[in-house]
Amino acid sequence: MTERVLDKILPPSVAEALKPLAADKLCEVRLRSGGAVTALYNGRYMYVTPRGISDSYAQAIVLDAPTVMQVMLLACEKSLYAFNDRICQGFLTLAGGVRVGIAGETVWEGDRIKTIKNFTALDIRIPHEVRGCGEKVAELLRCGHGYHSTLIVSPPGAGKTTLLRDLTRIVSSRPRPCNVLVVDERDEIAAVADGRPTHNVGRNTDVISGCTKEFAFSRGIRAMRPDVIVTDELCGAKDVAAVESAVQGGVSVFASVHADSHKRLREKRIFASLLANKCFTRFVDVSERNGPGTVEGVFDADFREVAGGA
Amino acid sequence: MITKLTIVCLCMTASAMFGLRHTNGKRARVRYFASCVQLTDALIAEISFRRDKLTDALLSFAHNDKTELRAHIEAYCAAPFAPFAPKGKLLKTEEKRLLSAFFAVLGTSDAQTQVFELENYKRRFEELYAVESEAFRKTGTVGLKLSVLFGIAVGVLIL
Repeated sequence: MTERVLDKILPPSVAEALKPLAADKLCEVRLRSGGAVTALYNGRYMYVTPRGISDSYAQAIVLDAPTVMQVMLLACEKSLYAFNDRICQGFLTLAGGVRVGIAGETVWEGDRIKTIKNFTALDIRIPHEVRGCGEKVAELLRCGHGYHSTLIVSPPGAGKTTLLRDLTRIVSSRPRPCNVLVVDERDEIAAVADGRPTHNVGRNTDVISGCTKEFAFSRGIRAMRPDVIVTDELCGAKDVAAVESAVQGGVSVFASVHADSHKRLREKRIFASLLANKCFTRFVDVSERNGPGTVEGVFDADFREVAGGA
Repeated sequence: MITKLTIVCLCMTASAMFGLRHTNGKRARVRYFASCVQLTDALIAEISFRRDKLTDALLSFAHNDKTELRAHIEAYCAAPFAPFAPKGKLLKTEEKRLLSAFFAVLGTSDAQTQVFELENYKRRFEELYAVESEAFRKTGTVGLKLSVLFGIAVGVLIL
């Protein structure tokens, strides 16, 4: 699915250059207006040349502004107006969970962004399902017949969404049915297309996508009666309030946050009440130390280590 | 006598057919620009509310259209990223340029800007529709009448 998406939107020179590469090691392609095309391959950023990838800028493919615009139009299927809300949030999610980060000129109307135009750069992030990466961690999150509310802590690009996705699959596929609700604000976890998740998120999973966590949590809990809610990237007071409300209502929550480690959470004021009320009783630190998805440790509500690195 | 009458009938039919073809050509241009106006209205409504994908909206309109615009829409949707040049003899050169510019601008901006652009194009299509329908009102059926008269005249001469 992701190969088809990339073939569809990338300029032919770039698509050809990336074809020989191992698909499971390609995580990102960056297109810059007037700049070289780069790719994150096997954990390193390299220049994309007509023959493949290289450390040298000299032969890198350089794109112009109309080409970057063309990529954007291809990604939007020549319907920019239909995706403008997402564009204003700075990203677009395509089929298969391919996420396009957008940089360009913002146009404001009063105090809100009307649109982004004259795109200067596109960051195409390619998701990878790593089935089984959450097996060991899932065992440490069990709590009786249910699960501890868990916060995955990692810096950007370290694999927390991949881990979250696999944990969703594991929890949802248990022999004893467990209703899992995925609140997929940016279509990254389940990546629903044409009414079906394109990633494997388990057989007992419901997905609410493309809306705020606040909306999805309140409607989802009332309408879908979940045992576990899974969501990605808590980043504001409203997200935190939604999680608190869910946990206090008896629903387990799996979520993630950008930080170096669980210890840094105390420095973030918005997490003060979550930590004080022990809403999360498990913290999983993830890093890129031995490649993306390296589990540095699993900790309890008092930050005591439950288990070391996986 | 019968042969002459038959020839007269054939002449009148042939000239009437010629006149009808000429009239239909003029009528087709009126209907084409009427469809263009309806298309812009449909797109404005679509973009303002449902915001479905462009090709879906265009093909949905084309499905019910009976003018040459349907063929133009289908050709555009077959290759929406390639420069579009309408084919056929119905449109004049500057009208083809207008259509090319119209299709080129579709789907390239946010909803509010797109609606503004469509409203501009709608005004231009309305002007063309007004000119063509006025011309048709004045002279659209003249060709048909003349050709019928011509056919009768030839018939009388033969007789």
